[in-house]
Amino acid sequence: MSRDVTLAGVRHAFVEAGTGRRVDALAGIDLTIAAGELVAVVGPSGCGKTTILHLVAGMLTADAGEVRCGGTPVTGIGTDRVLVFQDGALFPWLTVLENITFGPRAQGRPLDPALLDALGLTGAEARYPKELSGGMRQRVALARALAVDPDVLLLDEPFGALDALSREQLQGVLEDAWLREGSGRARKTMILVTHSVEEAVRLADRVVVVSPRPAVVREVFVIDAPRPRDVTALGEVRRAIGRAVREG
Amino acid sequence: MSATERLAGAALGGRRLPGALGIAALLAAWALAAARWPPHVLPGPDVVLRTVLDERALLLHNAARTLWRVALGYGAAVGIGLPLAGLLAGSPLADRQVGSLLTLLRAIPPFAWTPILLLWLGIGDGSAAIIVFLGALFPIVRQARAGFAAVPPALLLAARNLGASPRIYWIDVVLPGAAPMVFSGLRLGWALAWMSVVAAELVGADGGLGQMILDARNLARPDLAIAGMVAIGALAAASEGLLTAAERHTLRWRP
Repeated sequence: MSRDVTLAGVRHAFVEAGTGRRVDALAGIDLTIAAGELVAVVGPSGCGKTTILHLVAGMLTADAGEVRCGGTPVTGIGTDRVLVFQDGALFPWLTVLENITFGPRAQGRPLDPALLDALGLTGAEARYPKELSGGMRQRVALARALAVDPDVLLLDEPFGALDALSREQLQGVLEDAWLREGSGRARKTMILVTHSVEEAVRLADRVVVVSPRPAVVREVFVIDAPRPRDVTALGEVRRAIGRAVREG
Repeated sequence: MSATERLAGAALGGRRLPGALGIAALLAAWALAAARWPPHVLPGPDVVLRTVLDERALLLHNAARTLWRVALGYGAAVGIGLPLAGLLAGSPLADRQVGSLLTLLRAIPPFAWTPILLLWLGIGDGSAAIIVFLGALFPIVRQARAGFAAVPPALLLAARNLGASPRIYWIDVVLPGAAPMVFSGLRLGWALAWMSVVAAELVGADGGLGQMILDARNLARPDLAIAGMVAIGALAAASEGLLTAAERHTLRWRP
């Protein structure tokens, strides 16, 4: 089943660790992501993009407004909405295979055997995270999240720390994993937080530009080019998004 | 071992050599000193070696008593200390209330308990094991508590997000995440367990290596006293080696 995500008037403030100062991160976010849609959220760094993901994941609670998933208010962490952390957050004491089967094992289900192959991880099952390159680590993080088969996949700069080549490869892997679901099963709803306009334009159905802190939705761009996309042909929309990000 | 360390080891002529050199130098100094002093004051390594062989039944018997007391006390310290550390890490209320109690108790050296325990329990395995327990408990609790608190929050969030039950959360995530510090507590506790058992046996116990050393002095048998010391050192070093091997195996995932 695929589910939509809505944020209505969502505000969030956090207390800064050093100073004890209250910082407004989100100043009323209104956003609807349709079931099976891939939406990218872009904006200047430190603007609260990650906070949006943590709210949808149920790891944070909104101070005001409402976060809903499939029409039901989000009240906490759940396996229906899985977050892929920026650095992967792999369990370093578990092998690649043990990391990926963590979710299925916790739920008492078998692992979808096609997953390892789809993410190019065949042959690396017995390795520990310390033995993997950054790109491989993020493949494992992606596989570990997909193995839970969530309705909503939340991606927090998943390829931000990678070199250009691995980044491009993993974007392809992610797109394929998402498209794969189209035939037969319902496609997953995905929210991708990124600072790369190019990445957003390549992958997303819609690109949401948020302002600097305290963040509001500044502008939304619909990208309806067929997939797989040639981003060089989408220069106009890329420039328009870049301008929106810079102008905040 | 990293490539750099291997190179450094090779440059020193192998990693085992420096360790063996130290022991050889100690033995040589001991033999030289023993040649100048009468054997009833300082017996040489040869005399002590003969005593070890001649008195092996006595040594083994007492070593078994000592090991049993350490096993009882240390086992209880691990069995109670790790869950207690988990409780302290998981509950701020328990951390405040029990934490201050532990701070107070920790300030009392385990050996200070000996007289009162002997009064209550008499001479025997029980009072020695309790002193071992008291010696080992605090470092185990303290390090494990710090270890539990040092597990990266992202890993804990990820575990819950992937649907971990409380059992999987604690056993498969929190415990391995805390393992490096848990092991540091286990080592510290082990060293204190050995010090505590010998101290307890010296003050008053029925048998054990500490008691045997004390008896040897009363019998004017320095060779037997040194043999007992060697046995204590050998057992402690060997068991520490086992602990190190277990640690290395358990933490093989570490970068």
